[in-house]
Amino acid sequence: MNAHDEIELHELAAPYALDALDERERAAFEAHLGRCEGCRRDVAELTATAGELAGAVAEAPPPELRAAVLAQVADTRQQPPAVSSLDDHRSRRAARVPRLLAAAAALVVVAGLATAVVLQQGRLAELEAVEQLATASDVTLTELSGPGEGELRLLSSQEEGSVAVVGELPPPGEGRTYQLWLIDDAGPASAGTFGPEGTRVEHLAEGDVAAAVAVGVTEEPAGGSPQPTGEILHAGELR
Amino acid sequence: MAEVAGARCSGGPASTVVEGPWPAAQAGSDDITTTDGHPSIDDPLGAVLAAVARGDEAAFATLYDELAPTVHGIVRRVLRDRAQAEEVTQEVFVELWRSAARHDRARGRVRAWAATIAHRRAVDRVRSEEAGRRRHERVPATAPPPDPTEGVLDRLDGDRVALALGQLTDLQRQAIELAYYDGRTYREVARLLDAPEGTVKARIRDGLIRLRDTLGVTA
Repeated sequence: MNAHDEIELHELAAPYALDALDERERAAFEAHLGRCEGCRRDVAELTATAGELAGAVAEAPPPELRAAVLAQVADTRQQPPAVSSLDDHRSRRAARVPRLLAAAAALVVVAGLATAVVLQQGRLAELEAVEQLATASDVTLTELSGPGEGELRLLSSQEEGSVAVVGELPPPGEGRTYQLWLIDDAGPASAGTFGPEGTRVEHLAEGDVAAAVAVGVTEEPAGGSPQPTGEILHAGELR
Repeated sequence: MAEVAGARCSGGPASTVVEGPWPAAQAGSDDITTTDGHPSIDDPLGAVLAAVARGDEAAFATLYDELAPTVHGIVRRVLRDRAQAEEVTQEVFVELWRSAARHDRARGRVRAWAATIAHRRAVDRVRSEEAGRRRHERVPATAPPPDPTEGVLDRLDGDRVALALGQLTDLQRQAIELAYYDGRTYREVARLLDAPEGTVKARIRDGLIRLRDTLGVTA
């Protein structure tokens, strides 16, 4: 990317703070944010200002909405907190002896993808976490099966307390996304939406993995669904 | 991991990592880790959000009561449709509950964070609609009409922002109104105003910076 493109991207910070970019520009700018601290600072400041603008049009919702919101929240799992620095993360990893699985192909793919694509902020963190999972001493690897196209493998580690799916999937339909589900005795719970980059998939399961006995992948409308609405395309058991 | 190449912009990749232990909401922990290591001290909703992050549903009800007019107001303004505004408002509050522990409290007011999520969701919803018939309506040339607000604090907040918007040049205010309150992309704004895209981007930036200074926003 040349200097002209970089300057143009930087100019997108203010409209980005107002959500005034179309999808394509938003994706490009978010990818840029992952490697530009100047823009991240810029965006943080502009976004904080933009957040104040809503105050000019405040309007209470109908009273009935309150009960509906509280009821849904009572049934909704929370995400865990994010932990501090990359340096902490790296020194913890260095203390661990990494062990490669017999199915080395999956790991080569996980380590190699970082060189190929421009990574956005949250995505970089997710990929680090998947790589950490893949090198855990107790990681297990399972092929998922099902009617869906593509090929997914399930990585799981009790030591890391995390679960991820990696592999290859065709792009989802227009206005659609893939969604991962953690399945326990109570049924499926969303573990986050994801999409392939090109055809590559690496997705870390969000939510409570401890109780899950299986995972499933469906295709859902963009933004995801509270419960699966599509058929299960890929599934596998957690050991 | 291989390094990510950066061209002109300074600094490196961001540095937050998602980790366990799972499940969420660590009971008994008073600490929400932030990049600075200390919470924002002059935000009354900061403590409420910290409790919400620990899974406290009563605290969440308080958060709802405090933020509902802010969230619903901007969602309603962008979407206009009453029923969709209520749906999206509910989605926003569920998202606030889900991601309470992820919010970096050193990064500004809880209210602004909630408004950011609300605005983004409302814009995503309005852009996903097929017709986009709203796009062909005439461009309003004036400030957003003051909607009735409930609660003294909301009214004061609203007055403050309305005053700050009044400090902008007409062109800056118009660009920000179309982009933010109408949920349009800057390219659409440029088309509607028959102005160059670069000019619209600059007006938005200059307007936001002026608002930042008038409102005394820190991030």
